Amino acid sequence: MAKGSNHKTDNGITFLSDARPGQWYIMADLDGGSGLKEKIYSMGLNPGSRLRVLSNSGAGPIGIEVRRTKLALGRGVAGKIRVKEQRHQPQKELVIALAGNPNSGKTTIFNNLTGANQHVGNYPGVTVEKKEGYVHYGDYRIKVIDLPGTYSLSAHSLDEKIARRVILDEKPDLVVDIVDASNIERNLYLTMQFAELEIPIIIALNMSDMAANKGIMINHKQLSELLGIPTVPTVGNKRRGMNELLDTIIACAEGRIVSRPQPLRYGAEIEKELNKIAETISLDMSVLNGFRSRWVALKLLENDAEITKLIESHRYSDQIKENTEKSRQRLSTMFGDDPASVITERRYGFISGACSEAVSGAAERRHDISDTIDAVLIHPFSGLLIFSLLMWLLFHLTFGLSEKPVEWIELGIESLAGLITSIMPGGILRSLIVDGVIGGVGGVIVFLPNIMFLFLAIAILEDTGYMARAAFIMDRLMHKIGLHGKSFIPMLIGFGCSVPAYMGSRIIEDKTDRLITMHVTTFMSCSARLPVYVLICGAFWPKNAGTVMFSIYLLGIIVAIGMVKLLRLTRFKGVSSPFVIELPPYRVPTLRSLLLHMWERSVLYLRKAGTIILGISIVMWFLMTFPHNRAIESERDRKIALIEQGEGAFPSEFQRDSLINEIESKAAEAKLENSFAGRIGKIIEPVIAPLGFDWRLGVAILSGFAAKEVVVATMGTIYGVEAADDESSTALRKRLSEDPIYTPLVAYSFLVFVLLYMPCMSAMAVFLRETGSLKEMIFQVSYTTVLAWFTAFVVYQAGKLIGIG
Amino acid sequence: MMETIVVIAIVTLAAIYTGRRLLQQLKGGGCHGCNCKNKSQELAAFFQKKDGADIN
Repeated sequence: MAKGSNHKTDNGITFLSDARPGQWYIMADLDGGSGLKEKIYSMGLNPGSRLRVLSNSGAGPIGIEVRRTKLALGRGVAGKIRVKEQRHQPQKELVIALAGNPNSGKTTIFNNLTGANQHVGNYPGVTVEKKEGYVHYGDYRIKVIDLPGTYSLSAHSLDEKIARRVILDEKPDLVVDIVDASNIERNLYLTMQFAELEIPIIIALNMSDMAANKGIMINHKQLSELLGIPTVPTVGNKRRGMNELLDTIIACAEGRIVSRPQPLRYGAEIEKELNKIAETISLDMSVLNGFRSRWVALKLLENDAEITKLIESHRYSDQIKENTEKSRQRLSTMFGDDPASVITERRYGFISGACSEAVSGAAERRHDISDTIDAVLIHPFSGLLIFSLLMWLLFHLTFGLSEKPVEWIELGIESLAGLITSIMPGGILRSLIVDGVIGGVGGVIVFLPNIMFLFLAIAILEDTGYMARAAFIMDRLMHKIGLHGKSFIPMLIGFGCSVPAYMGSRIIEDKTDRLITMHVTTFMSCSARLPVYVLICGAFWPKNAGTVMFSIYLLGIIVAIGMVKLLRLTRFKGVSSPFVIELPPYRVPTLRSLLLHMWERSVLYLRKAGTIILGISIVMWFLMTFPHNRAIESERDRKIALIEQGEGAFPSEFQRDSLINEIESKAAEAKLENSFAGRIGKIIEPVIAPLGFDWRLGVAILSGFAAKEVVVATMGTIYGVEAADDESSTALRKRLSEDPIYTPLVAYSFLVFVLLYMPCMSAMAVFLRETGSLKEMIFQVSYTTVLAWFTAFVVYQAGKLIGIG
Repeated sequence: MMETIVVIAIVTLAAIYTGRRLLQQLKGGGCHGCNCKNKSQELAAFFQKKDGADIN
């Protein structure tokens, strides 16, 4: 080691002992043992530190200024410190705030970053101290604000209020959240609250060595992806990870790394109330001190005293207070708990989900009854088994409980049709009302109890917190097969309706992952297909309807998984990334919340039946009734007249009536075949015949493109028109099961086809808009329909081969 | 004759109504019965928020 001589190298690095007075330098490194390093570093002189040489006479100590502190270093020590000359004053300024729970190692990191030179000052108006310091790193002068150690930002304590006010008044460029890795779940709660303020955050995963010693393994990269927050492992007391932390801070400031915390959604009910309150708040933003209206609304729901006071100067404070009170009452009644508690639970739910994905080992998690139940319910094997059993039970019970109410509605509809038939003279107007309107719309309305009970059951699963667990199990499965973890969200929405599901796929940034998700979401059987399943399952498997329906839903999931795998291997190659599924604590749902869910779904179902389905039913009736074929009618009348003339030739009146009925039935069938709809059906019949379908099912399938429930309405109209002349009215389920053409095998093949074939018109329009690609939309329509045909073909032909048909 | 006129009127109204609804669906307006339009709006607000903008 040469000392005291000029060793300036090509890259501008020299020893501090050779540095020129008045010149700025950046410390590069230090030759020496750990004892010397610790001593020098503790003085605030560490790699990356910016220093100015105050005096260097060529002999004796060297005076320097670092972190606004003057130091005198012996020439021997200075000869071991390598520095790089900095020709210009750093121009770039950054302000960061250090936040964290008490005892998370925050002060150690603050001291590591800023050196011993802390500036301690009183924050205006309060007595709690706020510490400030500076660090020069690279081209940056970074102001570090040390926030008080807090567990949350709920403003219950002065520390929390300070933390909040510092964020708003100092407007830091980013917040570095010091998280104790050995107690990660509790520490992330504060992180979630910073995320709500919608400011960039970096997590310093501190004490990661202690966590590792405890057997807690944290996949910090995965955690970072899940939370949308850059994460740097650090060990504050050993100065590990400091440069990485500073590098990440600068990378964030320069936009090379993006900190975009995952937005936390509190569920439809809370979000609805939040939006209502936020809407009024946003009418006067001047009093919000920079807070966002949604955040203020959230704090009002949490009954935050400081925000409640702040809102008093709002132009619409009375209205806001009234709305908040109403919202709080509504939510309290719905959840049976204080809204603040529910919000806290949701935050912990999110954290719990993230930790379940990225943390393994004996983490000090909040062990409560939810954790105990989760040990079984989200277990890779028992979880999947219980999920399957619950789904089966759900469908089974739905059918069992709905059986009687469905019969009552059927009876009511039949009576109504009978009444109209008896009071109105025969003709096309009566046929329109009885066969078109009652046959079509009535066929759909009859399954209202199934819809009600199914959504009641789903609401129970959602409100107890089980649905989140089901999502977790499925997400893990999806991720294993190469689908983006986030994909599960649109797929879950897809069980309700494909339109919001396609829109929901926007959360997936990666275009390939997004397209795959959209292409398979259609197999998540939407609720509009439900009446078709209920009709067919009830008609052909009255004893095992729930089990058959469960098998159809299961088939949809299996096909989706298979298609993801296939698309990943062929059209869309690549890897996927995980996502947080929130795991809220289990809770007993309130009756009001359950009934509200059920009511909303029932109203929507009835509204759809009374609007678009009614319209289509009338149009379908027209297409099935016209054009009138006079020749068929004349032939029918001629045959009936002949029978009536030869009255005595029949051994009994019954035989004669049977023959007349047969003639009328055949004539109605011929008329239907000759109608516009019949002709269209006959054109496509050769294509669907290998699946066991006749032209009537073909017409029903085609009409389903408008809306899937229309399949049922069309079948109702077909049977209504076909049976119009015999003036009897029998439930559609009975007519279907008695039809000699439709065997249980044909029925199952039909269910498979309805499950898999192209989504409805609305969904396709949104698909086109969301992808912006006609090619992808055509691919979607084509491949789903081809897949539906192929699968139904395999089911029908295989069934016939083994003798089921 | 009267019966035919009434039927034609009903079918025409139903066809116009259905046609308009289907056209709205084709424009991506949702199917109006299943709340997907509202759902879409909720989601749009959600994504707007995600992109860094205040939902209001």
